[in-house]
Amino acid sequence: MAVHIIHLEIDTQRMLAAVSRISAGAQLLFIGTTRDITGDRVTQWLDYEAYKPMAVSKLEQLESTAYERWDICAIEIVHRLGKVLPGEASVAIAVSSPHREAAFTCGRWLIDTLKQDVPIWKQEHWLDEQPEWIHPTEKTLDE
Amino acid sequence: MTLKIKLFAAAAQAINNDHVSVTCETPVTIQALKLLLVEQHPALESILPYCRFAVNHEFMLDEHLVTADHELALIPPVSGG
Repeated sequence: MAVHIIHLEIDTQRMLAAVSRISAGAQLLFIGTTRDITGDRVTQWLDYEAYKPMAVSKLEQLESTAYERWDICAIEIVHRLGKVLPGEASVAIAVSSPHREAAFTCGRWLIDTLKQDVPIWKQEHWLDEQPEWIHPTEKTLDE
Repeated sequence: MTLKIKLFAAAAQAINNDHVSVTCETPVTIQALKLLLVEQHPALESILPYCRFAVNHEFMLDEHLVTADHELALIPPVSGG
């Protein structure tokens, strides 16, 4: 299984190398990064926390399901914990497949499902406000 | 019997601890456990309706029975990514 929850910077080049296959005609890399402005509020940094054993288990389930549903060569998923500054990556997903359609569809499904079902939380450290845990009560997949 | 429930994010912040204990008879359904949780830890009342329960790292529905042998966790709406 190629899922990792780490406290260090995410090495996306390593991830691309890890999913590289001569059978692949497509390599897809999604990187989720910390945004500096949300509405009229300024983010200084995000702090990520996980229920780590369950988060790893859920990510492994996502990976297994993806292999069953699409014609995929390889998948790498990395989520970072702790303090993540604006512009830095908090999550990255690399997918390779013989044909591009499967990689696009699978990559999109992986990040959307991760955001619904993997027990990881972000705390916004706003400028000039108290830190705030983010708990979306209506599913918003575009954040 | 005392059940230990892991807490995260705003749920942990609400009672300033990474777990709570609930005293109850076991086995107990998750639905009954939720009622006892609010009774014994009222600070969790506002977030509880939005939370899911995890039993041994899997989300479980209200009718599921749990005992002290299970690893229990209250999962507030997640915000990874």
